[in-house]
Amino acid sequence: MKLIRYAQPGSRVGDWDAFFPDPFAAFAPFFAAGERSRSRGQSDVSWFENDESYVARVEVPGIARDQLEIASEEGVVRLAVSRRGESENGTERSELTLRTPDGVDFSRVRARLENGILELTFPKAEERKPVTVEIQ
Amino acid sequence: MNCDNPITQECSVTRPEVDQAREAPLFKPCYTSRYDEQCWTVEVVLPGVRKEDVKATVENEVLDVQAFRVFELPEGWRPLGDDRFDRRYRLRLDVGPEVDPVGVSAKMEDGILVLRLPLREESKPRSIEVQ
Repeated sequence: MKLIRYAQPGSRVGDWDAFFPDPFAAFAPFFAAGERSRSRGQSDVSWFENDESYVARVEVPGIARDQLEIASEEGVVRLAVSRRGESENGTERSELTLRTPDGVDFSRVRARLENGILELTFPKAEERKPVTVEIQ
Repeated sequence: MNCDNPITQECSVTRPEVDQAREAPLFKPCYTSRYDEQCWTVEVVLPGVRKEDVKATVENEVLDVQAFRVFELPEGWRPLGDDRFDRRYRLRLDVGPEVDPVGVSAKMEDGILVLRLPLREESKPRSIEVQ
């Protein structure tokens, strides 16, 4: 199959003709597309917060569960995607490191994958949760 | 007026997700396009989009893909930062007369929409027998 072209991610309407042929883009590490998105002022990660936890929703299109590894440690979460490359030998591996907010219990991170979005839930450490103050 | 399509504002029946999407920013999605002897294959990157929120048509030699994604904030959740998750997507590609619109198929998986646009029989390369 002959690859024709690959358009820059996420360009706003008004950039109809802003095609940047990138012959390597289809083979590039998955998260390289995310880098380009971020440099254009958009992000592939959306963060939320509630009383119990912080939540990150990360764009991971085209990735199945068995291709994704998530490692959680103090201060960061590391995502690694392994895909069978177009070439005959071996797998392609790309990585993304996300900095996590302070006060998170990194050993209790939960992950959910749906429709190409990885939702990571970072529970707040007990001492960081809001506390109701009683008036005496 | 109730509008079903947050991009073209076509009206039929309202769904609440459509209402939420109507104000979302509009983006052109990333895509790959390749062809072989049998068909064009277009893969459109639509992370977070459900298949019921995609509309794809081939008309007048143009492939038009419209989609949106919304995230309804659960009770007690607050967004952090300026990045908005809700988006509308639109991609329009010229497909040319060699594509047969009747045989087009689409499949949505893990946030990637894969469209197969078969070529008309008469447009396919034909091998010539040498006598």
